[in-house]
Amino acid sequence: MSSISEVIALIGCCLVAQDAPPHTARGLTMDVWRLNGALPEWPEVVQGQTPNISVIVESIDSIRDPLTDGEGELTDCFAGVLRGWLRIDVAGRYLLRLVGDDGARVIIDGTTLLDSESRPAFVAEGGADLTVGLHSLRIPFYEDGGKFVLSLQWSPPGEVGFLPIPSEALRTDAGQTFVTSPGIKRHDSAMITRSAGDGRPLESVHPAYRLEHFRARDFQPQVGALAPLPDGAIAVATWDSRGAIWIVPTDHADGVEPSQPHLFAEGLGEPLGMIAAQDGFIVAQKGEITHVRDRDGDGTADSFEAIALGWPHSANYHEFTFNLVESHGRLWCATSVPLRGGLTDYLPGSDGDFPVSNGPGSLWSIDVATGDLRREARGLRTPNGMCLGVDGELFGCDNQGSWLPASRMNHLHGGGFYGHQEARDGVDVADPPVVWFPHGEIGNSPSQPILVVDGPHRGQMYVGDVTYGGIQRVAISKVGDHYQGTVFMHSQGLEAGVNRLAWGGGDDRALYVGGVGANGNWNHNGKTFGLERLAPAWTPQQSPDAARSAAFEMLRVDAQPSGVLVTLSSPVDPAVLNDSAHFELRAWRYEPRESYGGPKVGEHLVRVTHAESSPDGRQVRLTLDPWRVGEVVSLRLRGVVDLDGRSPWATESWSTVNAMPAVSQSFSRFVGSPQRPPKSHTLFGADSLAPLAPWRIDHGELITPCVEVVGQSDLTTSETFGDLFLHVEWLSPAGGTVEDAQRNGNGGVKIAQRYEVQIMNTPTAPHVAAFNEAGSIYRQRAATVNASTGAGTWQTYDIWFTAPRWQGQDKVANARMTVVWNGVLVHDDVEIKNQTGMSAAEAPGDHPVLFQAHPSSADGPVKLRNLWYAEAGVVPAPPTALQPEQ
Amino acid sequence: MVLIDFHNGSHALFNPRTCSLDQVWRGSVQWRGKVFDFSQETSQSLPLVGPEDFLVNRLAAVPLLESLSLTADEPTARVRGIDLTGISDAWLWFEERGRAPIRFELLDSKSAAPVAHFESATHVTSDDAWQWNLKRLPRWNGSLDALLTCGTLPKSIRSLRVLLEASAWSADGTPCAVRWRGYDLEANHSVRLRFEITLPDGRRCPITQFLQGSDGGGCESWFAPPLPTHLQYDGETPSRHSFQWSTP
Repeated sequence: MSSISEVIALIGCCLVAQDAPPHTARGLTMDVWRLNGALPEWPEVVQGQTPNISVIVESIDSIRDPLTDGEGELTDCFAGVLRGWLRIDVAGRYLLRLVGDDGARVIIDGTTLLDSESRPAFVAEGGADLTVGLHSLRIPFYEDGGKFVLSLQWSPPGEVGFLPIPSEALRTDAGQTFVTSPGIKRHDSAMITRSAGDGRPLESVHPAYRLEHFRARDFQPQVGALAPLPDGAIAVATWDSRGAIWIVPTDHADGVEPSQPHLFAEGLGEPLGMIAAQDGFIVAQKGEITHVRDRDGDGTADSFEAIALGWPHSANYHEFTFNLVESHGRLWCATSVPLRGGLTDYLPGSDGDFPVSNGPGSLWSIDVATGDLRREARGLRTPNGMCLGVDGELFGCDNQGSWLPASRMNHLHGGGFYGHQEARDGVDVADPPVVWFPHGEIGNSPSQPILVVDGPHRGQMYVGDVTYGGIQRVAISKVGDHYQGTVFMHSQGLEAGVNRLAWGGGDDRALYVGGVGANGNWNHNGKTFGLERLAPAWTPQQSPDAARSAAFEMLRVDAQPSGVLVTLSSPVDPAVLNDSAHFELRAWRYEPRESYGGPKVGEHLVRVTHAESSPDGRQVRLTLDPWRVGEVVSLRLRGVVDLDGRSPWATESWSTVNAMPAVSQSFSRFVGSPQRPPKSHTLFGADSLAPLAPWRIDHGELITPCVEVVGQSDLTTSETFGDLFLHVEWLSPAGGTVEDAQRNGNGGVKIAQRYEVQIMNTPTAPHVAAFNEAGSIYRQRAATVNASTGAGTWQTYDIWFTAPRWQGQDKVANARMTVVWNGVLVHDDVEIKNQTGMSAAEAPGDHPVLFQAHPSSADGPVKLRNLWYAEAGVVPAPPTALQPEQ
Repeated sequence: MVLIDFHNGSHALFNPRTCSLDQVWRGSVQWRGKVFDFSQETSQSLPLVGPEDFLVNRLAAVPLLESLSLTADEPTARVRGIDLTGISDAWLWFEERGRAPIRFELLDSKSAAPVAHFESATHVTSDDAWQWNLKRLPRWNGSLDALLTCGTLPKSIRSLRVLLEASAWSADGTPCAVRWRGYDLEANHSVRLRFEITLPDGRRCPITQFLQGSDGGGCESWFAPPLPTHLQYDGETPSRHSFQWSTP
């Protein structure tokens, strides 16, 4: 026999059946979680938390304390489970004897046979008839205090008395990577009760979305990559023995069984990144970037072209090639480090560390045409998941382990170093993470992030997790040179741990969720496959904020000079928000070390010295003591409900503080986007006909053309207007230049062809929007508050316009405008003294609305959608507009 | 590696690092690894034992040392003459037992000048388990000696061998750089492998190698014409090659 290392392609090979018996090893796996507090009865360890101990034990005849984890001895206050299979070679009646102090159970094939908790001397005996073969065996246990003893013996057919179970009869998964983490783990008991979203993971999908199942039931993909297609189908690459690409239809009538997917290609080696390309797909597989194509048009791939390969890597199972993102003309992927027993497999020496050096744990960019490879950044450990996110920048997640005390999200860029040392004695200083995912509380194996472009969370990012499961939400801002953010719970109740996320193609606005899992504890609830979608609960005709109040939740927690500003999705009684007793905060920091994971260091309470509610009860500013850079701050709402009496969808948040802004953000006045009334008129909608070229329509969106000169191809309405209300939805893409920021996704809405509200890819707060940036009445008034949701997201303007008044050719009253930007009032019945910028001079009479096409260096065109108007008075102006201008 | 099943009981393994056939065998595959059975092993060929089987085995495994114990009486060991002349890639493979790492000093065989050093695995599963190691060696156009020491004795090592890969392609005796370009699927389970040779004068020569299962069992390999006349594969002019066994 000779070894075949790192197979990257399998041509025409037979497959291992998925239901083949597991590859097992001798013994049972024992997972133990360190708890605290009294345990008067059976504790329930909150799921999604990595155990403190995870080892194989070959004898369960007598397990006693002290147990030992990375932090020392474990004698009291712990819970655990022995798991695996019991191998029966001779069928018959087996008697069992369990000793478990303070409590243990024997569960065989899902049936609880023995429970020692309430038995005299903690001894329980019983029997079962067992057939030949493998029977699943679970032995949960816990210890409050005193002596810990755990023992299971058997008496097989024909034997007298109880005997130790031989290790050969105990089987567990072979080849596991034993993932552990330090620290006290959360549990429920009679003393501590948590609920979904409050100290425990959520149990369902966020109310702004509907969970939909769309695939054929017998298609059970272990998803390595997703790529949406223009016709609305979705391509799925599977991380399994087949290494396939499937084209999965996504539309089917209610009550009709979904169609089977179409097999496009197979034989790829662990595909974990994919984008749609000419005649097929470009795929990141182990050690190679490959263009998979169907040259003869028969619907099946027949060409596998190696675009790039040759970065240093070994045959170690953990040296993955993750992700594939296209940006600035290059493809981006990332590699992971080799592991042995869960720890980095250093072979230190003069040729650099690892089995190979200068390759594992790197960010790579590739020229598609030439295959030129460039190592852009280093210090990654397990960088599974990457996307173009906020501001069009590259973001990716990395998983807890050696040098990473917790999982983290990174802002990936050239020259970056992200913490995993390349030598055992390495001392390189890491870039700070955008967010830490405190282990077991809000993350365990984070995977792919994705920018949310629409809906109430637009401008933020969703992140999947393979073992904690579900999807988390991250609200990010840029303070100084660094991104930082806050993590919130978002959704659970999916069919497997989440590995990949993708927005639907074409007209499809759903979020496609690909699941995966493996043996050992690298899975969520034991599941290994999944493919579902979250469909938005709001319609295309509604504004993106229509679902803002679907749940009562913290939308954002933003660092301020002296604390945080919390923004809520719906209003709360200001008296409640003014009471600091409703906010519980803790803070800690992380210190990297070579051993696996790391505890919270210096964890301490944070005092709220002052709580100030906004007048509308939608925001609260908390002054904190202490308040430090370099810490993670967790915030928990206690006893806070909104004005409709709803409890928070999730009470907790985790903020990573890399920097503090110099200036406090003002409270913003959220008034919402008005619902479209019956007496309104469509300027452009999903059913509109194509306008004059070079403007075009793509999947219901109006695409502005590229122009070289301002005014070259503006689009004007055929109708003319005096006073009016106008609703505009717009998207400005990321990118542009620093030298000429006016080329950064510039567009504009010019009421009466003269009064422009600027469109641009202006960054989010704490950036202060200037008088020529988004939200401004161009070059006359900057928005009073930066309400931007950022580049690449759908934003809204609601504009109440009062035309100037004339007597003959003499203007007797200036134009006035109220602008609500993403539901936030930013211009409150302000006077506009004359035309904005280089627009035509003011003139009496009715005039059309103009949509501007502007020269741009951004990464795509400005887009518009859902444009409608109403005569003055039909849509009530925001209440505060009644106040005279100050 | 690119693994090809001809659906006639034979397989081939093509190495994209050297753009050459590594193995051709009659038999099957023992699937191992994360997507097959979640072990940490690698897959292995399972050739049937018999005179009909054929292995190219360009990935040579040269045994160096079957077993050794470093003790207080003999705290060092020296492995002489690891010949890396003409080798494009080499790895040292060995197993060790015990937690203390072995230090390898690689020295030029002639001058004894130090070339490189490394230590064995930093994480082992237990005191008693045999722990595998695989370390890439620096490129060296000559012969190396390896000096083994350990800070904690006794220390056991076994199955020390060097895995060697050499470029199959040369022109007028000079090894040529290769660049893998991918493969196309053809009818009847045949495959067209594509790669590129860089000749010593800098010219790039695209090569197509066809692999096809044969009716009688085995497979055939041939190259698409025309190839430069001075280009050699394994020191010979590239030509059609048959790997056949007779069926009863």
